[in-house]
Amino acid sequence: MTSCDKVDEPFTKQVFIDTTHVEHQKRVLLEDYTGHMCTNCPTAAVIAEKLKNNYGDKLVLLSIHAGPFANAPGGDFADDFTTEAGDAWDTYFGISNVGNPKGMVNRIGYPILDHILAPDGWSGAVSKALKESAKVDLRITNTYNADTRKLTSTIDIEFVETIDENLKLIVVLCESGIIAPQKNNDKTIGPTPIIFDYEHNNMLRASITTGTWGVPIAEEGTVNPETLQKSFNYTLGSAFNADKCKVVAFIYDTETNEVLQVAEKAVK
Amino acid sequence: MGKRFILICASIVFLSGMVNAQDLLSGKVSGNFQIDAQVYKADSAIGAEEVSEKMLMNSFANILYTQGSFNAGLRFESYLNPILGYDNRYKGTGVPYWFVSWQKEKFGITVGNFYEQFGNGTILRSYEERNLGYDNAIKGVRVVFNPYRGIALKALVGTQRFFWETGPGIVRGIDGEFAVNDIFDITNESIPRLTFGGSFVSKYETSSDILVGDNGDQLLILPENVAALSGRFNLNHKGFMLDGEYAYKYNDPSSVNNFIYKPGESLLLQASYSQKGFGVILSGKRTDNMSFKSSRTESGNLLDINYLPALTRQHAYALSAMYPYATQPNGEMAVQAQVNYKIKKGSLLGGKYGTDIAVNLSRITSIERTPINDSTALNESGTLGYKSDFFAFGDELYFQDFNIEIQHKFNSSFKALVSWVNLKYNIDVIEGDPGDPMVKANIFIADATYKFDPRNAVKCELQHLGTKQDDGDWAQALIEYTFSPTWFFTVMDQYNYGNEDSDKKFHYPTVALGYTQDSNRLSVSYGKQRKGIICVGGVCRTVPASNGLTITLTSSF
Amino acid sequence: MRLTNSLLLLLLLTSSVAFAQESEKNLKKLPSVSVKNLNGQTINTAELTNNGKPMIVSFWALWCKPCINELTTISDVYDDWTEETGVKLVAVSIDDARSTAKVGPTVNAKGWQYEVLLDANGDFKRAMNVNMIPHTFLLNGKGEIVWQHTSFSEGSELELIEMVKKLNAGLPLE
Repeated sequence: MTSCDKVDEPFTKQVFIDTTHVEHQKRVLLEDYTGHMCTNCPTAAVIAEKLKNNYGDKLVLLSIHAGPFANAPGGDFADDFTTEAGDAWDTYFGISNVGNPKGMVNRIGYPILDHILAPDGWSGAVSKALKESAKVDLRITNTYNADTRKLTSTIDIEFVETIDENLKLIVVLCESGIIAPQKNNDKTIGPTPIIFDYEHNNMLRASITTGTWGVPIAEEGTVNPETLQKSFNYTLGSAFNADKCKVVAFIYDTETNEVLQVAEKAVK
Repeated sequence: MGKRFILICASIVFLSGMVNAQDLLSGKVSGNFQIDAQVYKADSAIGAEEVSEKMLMNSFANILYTQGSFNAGLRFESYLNPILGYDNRYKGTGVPYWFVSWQKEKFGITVGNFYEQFGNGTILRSYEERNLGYDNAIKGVRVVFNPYRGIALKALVGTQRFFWETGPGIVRGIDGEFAVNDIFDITNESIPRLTFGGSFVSKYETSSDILVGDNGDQLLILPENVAALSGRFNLNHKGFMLDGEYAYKYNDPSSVNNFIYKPGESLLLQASYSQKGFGVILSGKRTDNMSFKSSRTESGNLLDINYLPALTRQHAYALSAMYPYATQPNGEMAVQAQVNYKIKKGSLLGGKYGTDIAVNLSRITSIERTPINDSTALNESGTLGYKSDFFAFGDELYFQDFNIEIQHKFNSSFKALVSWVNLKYNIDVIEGDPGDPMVKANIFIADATYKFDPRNAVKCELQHLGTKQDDGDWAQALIEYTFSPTWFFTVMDQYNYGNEDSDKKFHYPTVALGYTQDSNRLSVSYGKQRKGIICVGGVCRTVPASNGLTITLTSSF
Repeated sequence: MRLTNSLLLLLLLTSSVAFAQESEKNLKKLPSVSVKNLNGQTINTAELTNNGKPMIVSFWALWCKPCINELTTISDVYDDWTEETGVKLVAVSIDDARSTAKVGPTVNAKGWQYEVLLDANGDFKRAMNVNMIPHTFLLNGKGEIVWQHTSFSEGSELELIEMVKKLNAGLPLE
């Protein structure tokens, strides 16, 4: 009953992030559901960036604009950064309904409600997810023709362990360096109430796999193939800056929705 | 013959004893239920989006079984799917609340889910507010022990409700309340009544990795057990009352306070005097870093262990309640004063029945915050955060409400109420809309009821909100016809005529019809509802505008 | 010998039938919940009584307009009611810690004569299955709940006092 932990200064300790890589390195997907009219969202984006700085390519960020704060009513906020895929995922996982900013790490926890994480909970969830080893690995190779704006993305999938589940692959395009207004209430990040030249990064722009839930790559009851290669074609819209675009691909278990492995590669 | 007779008598005695045991089966069952269903129509003008399910429904049913000292109950809830404005994570059906309790004079035990409040709730309050979707019930065990007249002891252990699951933290608490006059058997009414109490609450949550710092490479050393203490007293004598509660919370770095290690404190003091025809109350409250949740990364209204009341008046009319204050758990200084007076019957201004006057003023500011040293920014994660002078009022005004309400019954058929509210509402801080100027509004209400005959009455309400900020001026008119005790019919319209944007001068009309029979009530309303926004602790959720039909059915048995 | 036996049998039969009848009645009484009164004393709701006369228990709150309406309307005729029927009204406020301290001054200023109880965390409300307020219960002289009603409209207090008079006269309520 006399339970009270009183922590004395210093309250933090330096942590050394393990930057060593193993052959099939587990990578984690962090999805940040946001919107340009969400005043608390720049703070969350900064948290995600710091995690990316620490974990490097072990962490893949995806910023999804969806929900009421991503509406485009006009004036300063006339850009529509929503996507069909982003809206579908947001509705399915119920994220904006809870509020923004919120996110998911490897989509773990659905549907028992643990999947929606506040930004402060992201670092704990990411470090926990990285402790696991990868059961499947994927490698992305991109070929891009600047004249036709045609992208061919080839995903090589390798099963490290036998996985007897229904798996699907989703491939999306995201873009960084988009300068557009963003509402803000954190003076340490930028001017309030609006940062007019805010840099939006890792923004989900489109789904390369048709439909929003991807293509099947493994079936329960069927033996995993030794290797598997899937190729996708996509023509970049004229508004997209190909220099700043990335392809993000991830494999997930259709029953639990958990993301088993993710990878990202620049378009050029 | 004799033997048989004895056998028959014995059976009868035994049977009548059995009938007494049948009292166990003759325990009383009671309960209630409520269904709220809304059918939505898309209305892009007011911002009512398409609802793919078309109809959303919240419902619950409580069943209670009582038999002597034994009580058991459960609540069945179903949200298929939750109506707009409710957290979507409630989706589903189940029995999230059940309990079994046994209570004798000195001792009681409850197992299962329960609600509890220690003192004024500043370190522990678990309660439900079904119509707001609030429920932080504790699931575990609670023991109540009254060893002696005037001494009430409570102890509990449990986890808190999180939609259909429970939160990650374990809450433990003990509370003792001592009514001095009862302990020493002082029945003399001329001696003031003194009660004092104290509580200790502690939560346990396993540590997790939370990185802070400029490079995000500083790992917080988190306390797994966080404790809070509180002490209270209440003094009552004739018309006077003095009540105070002080709470202290040990280091509790969490999302709400940006992971600072400063202890939290709160002090609530209330003094009042009342006699027939007159009442006055003065209250003051300081809150400093007193958010206390059973999950350190949770925000909003979820998993609160304690309750920080807003020291403001709860308004009962739509336009005076349009800008409600939300307590700022990280720090606020509040004062409130209220005077209630009744002008006597028979006097000039009192008329035949007297006139009720109520004047209320509340004012809430920030707390004073100074940096702990030159090299640490205010509220920096992983530090003590800030220093704050206990009795100082901060510079920022959060809320100010001055209101006067006058009620008068003219004769047996006509009565009226008029009210004026002068409001200053810091929308920047309260709704998280930085840069928006303080909303200054003046609200006028006139509410009159006329009775045609003992059963038929009509009520008319006129409301006006005047402001140059936010959405501008609003006007509302409502007419309600009641046929007692069963029917009511209401027509109302809320009009945002003062909106700067001429395209946004919307009307929000509603028509409602209701039928009540004893403890059963059905009401149906059709119309438009304007949007709202709920911002608590850094996360904002919009309650979208809606257009459509609402059906509410409630019953108690 | 046979007579005494028969008498004894009759006595036993009667008592067992009486026991059975008690359990058939099954009307709910007030549950045992701790609430406070305006003097700060703890009251056990199961001990609320009006000495064999009918009692009205009404749940209300400062923020509930129809509740204030109902209690003000009854307050205007309460003296007549108590004189005629001996009925007592217990007004249970479900205002929480935000407004609990305001209940006393408000009620006293209005001059209400009721016994006012404070149910700050809703324990009594929950035990009585109250959903929406105002919710009013009528108890007979034995403390049994014989009628309950939710919501208030002008004139429904007339129905209430009629039922109190019926209870006093021993007539059925329907």
